[in-house]
Amino acid sequence: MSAHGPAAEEVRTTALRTGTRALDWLHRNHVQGTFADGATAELAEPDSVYKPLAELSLAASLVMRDAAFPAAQRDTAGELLDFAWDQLRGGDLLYERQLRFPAMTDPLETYVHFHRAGYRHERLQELLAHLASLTSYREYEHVPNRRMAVANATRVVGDADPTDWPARTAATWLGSTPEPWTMDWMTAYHVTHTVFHLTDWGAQPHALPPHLRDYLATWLPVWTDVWAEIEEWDLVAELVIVDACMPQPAFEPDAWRRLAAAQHDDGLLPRDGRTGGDGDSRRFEDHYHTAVVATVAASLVLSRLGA
Amino acid sequence: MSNAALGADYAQAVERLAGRVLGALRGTQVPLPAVSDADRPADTTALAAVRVMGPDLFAPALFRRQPLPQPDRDTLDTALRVFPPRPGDSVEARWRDRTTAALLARGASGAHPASPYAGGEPYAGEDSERAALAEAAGIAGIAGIVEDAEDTELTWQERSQRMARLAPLALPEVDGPYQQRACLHVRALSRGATRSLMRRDHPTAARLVRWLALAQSRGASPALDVPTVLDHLRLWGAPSTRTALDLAIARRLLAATEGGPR
Repeated sequence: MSAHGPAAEEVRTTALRTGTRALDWLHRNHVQGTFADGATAELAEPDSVYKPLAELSLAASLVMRDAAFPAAQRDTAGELLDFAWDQLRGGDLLYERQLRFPAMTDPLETYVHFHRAGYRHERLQELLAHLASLTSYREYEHVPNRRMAVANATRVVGDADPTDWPARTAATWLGSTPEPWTMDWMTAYHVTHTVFHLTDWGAQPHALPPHLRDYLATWLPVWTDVWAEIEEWDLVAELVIVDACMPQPAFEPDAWRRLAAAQHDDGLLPRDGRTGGDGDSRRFEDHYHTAVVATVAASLVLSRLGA
Repeated sequence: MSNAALGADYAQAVERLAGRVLGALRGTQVPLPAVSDADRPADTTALAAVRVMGPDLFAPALFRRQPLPQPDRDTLDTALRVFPPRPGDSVEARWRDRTTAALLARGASGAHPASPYAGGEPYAGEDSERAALAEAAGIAGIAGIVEDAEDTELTWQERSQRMARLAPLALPEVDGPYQQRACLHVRALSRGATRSLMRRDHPTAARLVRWLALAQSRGASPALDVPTVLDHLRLWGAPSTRTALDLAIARRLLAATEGGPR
């Protein structure tokens, strides 16, 4: 038994089982997220295939980085990354998109996951190094936590990152530690992403300033409880990731119990309690994101528990 | 009369009584007006409301350090006799009745000075209050009042749920284990209040904020900004008079902390 106690042991077991099933479900269904022939850098509907590919790659890259899942799941993650990289034509699509739209940051935000796992596209890398040197690229008017996504991707791909992280953090909703009861669904996602990027998905828990650690330690259990009650599974999994990004995670078993109970026999984890029935023809489209965050949550939790 | 009709009658009686207490709390009448239906001693619905409101009837007297009007003392006494403590009562009901009995035992002379961190027993050292407690127990025919189980292992949700039911005990000049626990567990209660606010369960939020106001008045530091929450509840809260009373008592507790008018 680990130093974290019996509750953490339960979390370890449940996270491994739930995360493995989510990852396997992604693997069995990933071909549904395939570009139509002839996809170009313009991507008229970037949310249809491009964004899911990026998020699939995020989960797979963290499984590889954390190396906390057994070898079989790491192989699965490797296959998903190969698939996604192939879909992006070995990074060419990202390169072409960045050339075509210099003001867009999503090529960087997608490439970072592959870079994390060891994939490289030299011409894109050169382009990104140049863009990172531009004040303009850092200051495009994204919402504050998206700016942190750009800054974190910049530092992960190895470019000079002049970001004033405390100022960036202070500009977010979380940064000003607001009244916790005013939290709503969308704001909750802003909070989770602020923590993800500030800590580079749990790689740097101590990047979280002490006042934010205290704030999150106090209120995360409440937010998780409230959204678990109304079965917002996608958000619950994101909040579990936030806990795992903290210097001292709480490793509360209840959220994992509820996520595990919501998971279907085939591994699908519905995004919420209202959807995900067997007759759902949009199962992958609607629920892939929840599989992604459940996989990430499991990877981080297993890693932090010292699996 | 059907159970539903009886329930509606009872709910109305509680609301009516809460409204009178609220009026006395906000009013300037000296001496304090009686708030209970003293002219209807045989009305069991009204007496049930008196029993359930219990310690809340003392709020105006405690804040103003005045004696509880004799008609209210008589009605409370009757309510406790008509609805005596029973062995199957919940922890919350036992402590509510116990507090009512102890406050009655303070006599017509009015409030005691606050002793917020006195020993584990409520009103320890107050002989008359002990006698009243014994009498309350005697009315029920049980030997002493059973203590609630040690609650150090409660989750923040369980603690908040229990304390919300015990909110009538959050009063100035009243001390005991639950008042002390409110001070010790402000984080748990702050979480509970936040949860209730997010679920738009404003009555529960108001009860928990009442405890937080008490804790703040006794030197504890809630994790929430209590005046801001009170303001929010005032604007968004449920229209029930009893909730309005909880909020008014919370505001008075905070005002006392800040040295303002009580």
